[in-house]
Amino acid sequence: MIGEQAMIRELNRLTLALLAGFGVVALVAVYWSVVRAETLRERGDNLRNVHADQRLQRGAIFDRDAVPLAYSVPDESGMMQRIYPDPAVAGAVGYFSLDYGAAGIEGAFDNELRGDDVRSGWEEFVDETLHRDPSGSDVRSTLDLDVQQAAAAALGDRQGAVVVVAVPSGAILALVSQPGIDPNRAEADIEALLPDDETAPLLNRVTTRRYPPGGALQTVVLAALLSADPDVSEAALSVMVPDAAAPVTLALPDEDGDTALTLACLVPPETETLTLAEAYSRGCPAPFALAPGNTLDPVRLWERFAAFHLLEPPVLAGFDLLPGEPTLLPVSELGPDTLQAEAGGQGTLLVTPLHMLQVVVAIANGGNAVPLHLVDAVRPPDADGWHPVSVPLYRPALLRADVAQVLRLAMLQAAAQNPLVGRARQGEMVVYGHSALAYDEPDETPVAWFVGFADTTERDEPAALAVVVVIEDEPDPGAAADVAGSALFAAVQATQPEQEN
Amino acid sequence: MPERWPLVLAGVFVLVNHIALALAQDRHWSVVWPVGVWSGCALLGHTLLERYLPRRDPLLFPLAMLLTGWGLNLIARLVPSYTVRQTAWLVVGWAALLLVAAFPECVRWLQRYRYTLLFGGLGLLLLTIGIGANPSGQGPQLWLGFGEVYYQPSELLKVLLVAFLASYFADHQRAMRVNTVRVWRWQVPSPSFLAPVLLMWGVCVVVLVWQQDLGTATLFFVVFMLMLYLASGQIELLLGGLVLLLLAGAAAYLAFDVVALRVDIWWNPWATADTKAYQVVQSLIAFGEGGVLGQGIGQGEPGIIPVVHSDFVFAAVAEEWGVLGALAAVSALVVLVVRGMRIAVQIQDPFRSLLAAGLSLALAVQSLLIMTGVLRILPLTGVTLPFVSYGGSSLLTSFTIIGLLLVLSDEVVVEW
Repeated sequence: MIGEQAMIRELNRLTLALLAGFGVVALVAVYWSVVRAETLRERGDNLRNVHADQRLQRGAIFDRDAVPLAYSVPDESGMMQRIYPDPAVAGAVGYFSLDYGAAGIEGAFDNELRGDDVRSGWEEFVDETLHRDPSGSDVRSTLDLDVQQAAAAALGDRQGAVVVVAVPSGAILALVSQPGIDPNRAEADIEALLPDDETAPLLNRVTTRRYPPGGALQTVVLAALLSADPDVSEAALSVMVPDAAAPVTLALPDEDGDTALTLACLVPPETETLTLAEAYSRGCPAPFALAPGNTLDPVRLWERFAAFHLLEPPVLAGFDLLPGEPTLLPVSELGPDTLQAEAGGQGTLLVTPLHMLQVVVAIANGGNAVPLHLVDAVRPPDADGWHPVSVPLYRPALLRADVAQVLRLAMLQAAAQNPLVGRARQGEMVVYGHSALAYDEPDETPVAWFVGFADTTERDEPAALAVVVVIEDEPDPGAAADVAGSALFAAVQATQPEQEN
Repeated sequence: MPERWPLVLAGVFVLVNHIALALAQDRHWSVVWPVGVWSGCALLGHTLLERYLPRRDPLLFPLAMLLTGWGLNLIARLVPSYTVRQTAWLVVGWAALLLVAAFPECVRWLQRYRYTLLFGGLGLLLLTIGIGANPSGQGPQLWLGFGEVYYQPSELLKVLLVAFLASYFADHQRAMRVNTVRVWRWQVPSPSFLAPVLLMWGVCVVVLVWQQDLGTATLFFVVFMLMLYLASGQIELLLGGLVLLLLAGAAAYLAFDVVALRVDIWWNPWATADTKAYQVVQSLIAFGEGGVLGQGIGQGEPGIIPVVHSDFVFAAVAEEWGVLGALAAVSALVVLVVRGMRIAVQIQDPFRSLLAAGLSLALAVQSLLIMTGVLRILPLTGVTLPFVSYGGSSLLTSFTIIGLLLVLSDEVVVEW
């Protein structure tokens, strides 16, 4: 029985080999299930995560008066559909797409809307173990649907941006970016809209699109001029400026370096010599574009840019706005022509409407910054009340109070004396403002700006509603004032009851 | 150990999981009905086996029923429309097991009519070249269709080839170990002994390769080499076979697109995770999703993996029962295989010993091939996980193998 005895040895060996094979299978199963589990679960191509998102009862987004701006409802298969009753809110509310992510409030407060912020690790584990579909928190925005709709209607089909904010709270009442998308159709439309560089409907024109400030920068230059005096007063506005109404030719920083742009007053005066206030009011470029090296130390102007945070991404609480590339070289590297182009708002410095809003709210708020924010509270699932969202309390001074006061006066005079700015006045509203034109690359397309605010101070409580409007391809600077007026008027109407209470 | 307690435990497991599935599907109690059929098969099978094979191994039947019940649970969860068909195949497989148990002399027929039976099986396989079909309507035509019923002849051939090899090697075992020739530094059996078996095995493999049923071809090759090793006792043959397998793999990589694809996917699935390697990557994600405890029956999403109910059923186990469930399935198969090998060790008759070993090896190698493919240890080979995967031919063959092992075990007292 030699063969049989020997075969027992081989059988035992093979049994051991098979056990080793199964052992390897067991070890590798543990490896994928335990050691690499987290990595595998978080893979972008894990459809289970997409399906979980589809079942998620995402929180709703409300406006300040509890009007729903976005909410989720289940379809027949139990998958959630996101509903946006009024697509006009898209600029602020953004969109939510399983394929393309989220933008606007939907993106910035995604954690809260998904409910990730209110569940502890243990609760999350229990929910997952019991396969409970999680619910997200509701989010209350500071938007006022009436103001938003009014601003969107005033802008119409034109490309541009409108943003309205309450001062000193910093609550944004309207944020319109046109053209936008219908967030109800985000899933279907985004892929087709992505390559559209010309109208760029997915680009938020308030927070992200950078424009040449053009004449809108005169307010900043004026602030720099006034800041040079340690104790400035209204008299500074009465300083006579020779040749203030003269046209100015700026060398544009294009690739060839040989493009020039001639600018003149928006409202031509009868005389060449004007006060500083008149020049500002009429949008005359000379006193501002030619100031560096003459009446203003360029370094001070650059310090003013920095003080207004124009050289860094704009700040909107809760949002992670794209930093973008620095657009302005240090002053020491610039020649006289370039300095003039920068001071004239046609240089390399590009700003978003939110940047300019930071400037105008500081003026309206006695020189202090306000914490710009779009969301002020969240309501966790099953909670009765709203929990305030922390908004930065730090409100640094961007301007001296005396400088801010003189700038207010200049803007008030502009609204009174410049018929273009005056188009922003509606009803009893006291408007402070400044109209401007800028010329955008590559074809020097005109961009109309309006920056200003309406004073809503009641019973010694300083308050204002600030607005910034930009309209692309718009040669009439008064057109931006029209839009601003409609938006401000709607905002005044919307906030009136609050002030009366 | 009496058979009934493991069988009761298996029944409890199957029942609890079907109830859990019904609860997970909004109290859809109709999914529980296969448990009735399963219980009938278990009870009647146990009773009849007590009569036919009173000294049989007490674990083989419960383990086979456990894995089959688990498979039924998975089919009801993954492709409910196949539940009736798979349950019907359970009855057919169970009947085949009892038929083998009722007629133990069939083992002797396997030895006596080895050429006839193998040629018969091969003939059926050859028929698939001419009139083969695929139940899904596309893909390799490896089945013979009888109306709505399909059977895969390569499954039958698996048993017949093992029986043929066992019979042939048993007849020539002593001579193979004594009459050897020297090849370089190794003593190998004389070609005169090996030629007939190589010829028969070669014909089978050629037909399978012709049909591009490469998973089964690999299975046949590995089982053949292992049985040759058992019979000859020469590890060199096994190592040589491994080298041949690698060379054949390299040749197949160049010759067959499907092999090249599977090797490429195995080497780097992440590069084509959303296209070619989608199935494998989603399978690995299923293991990650399952974690230790699993998502729970009916609570995961293994359906994301294409044909999960067939080749990738092990991933579905891991997702819904966790790695603990996967290890439990592996353990059940290990015990099944080890019991089979123990039977082989304790049988004195060379043919029966080789038959028990060959059948156990066929189950083990098939299980390892598919589990290592699903886990990306080896390139994927499209074979089923015995008892658990959807597939009537596979279930019928697996039950037949258990029937044969039960008959063989009844002849000895299997030690623990």
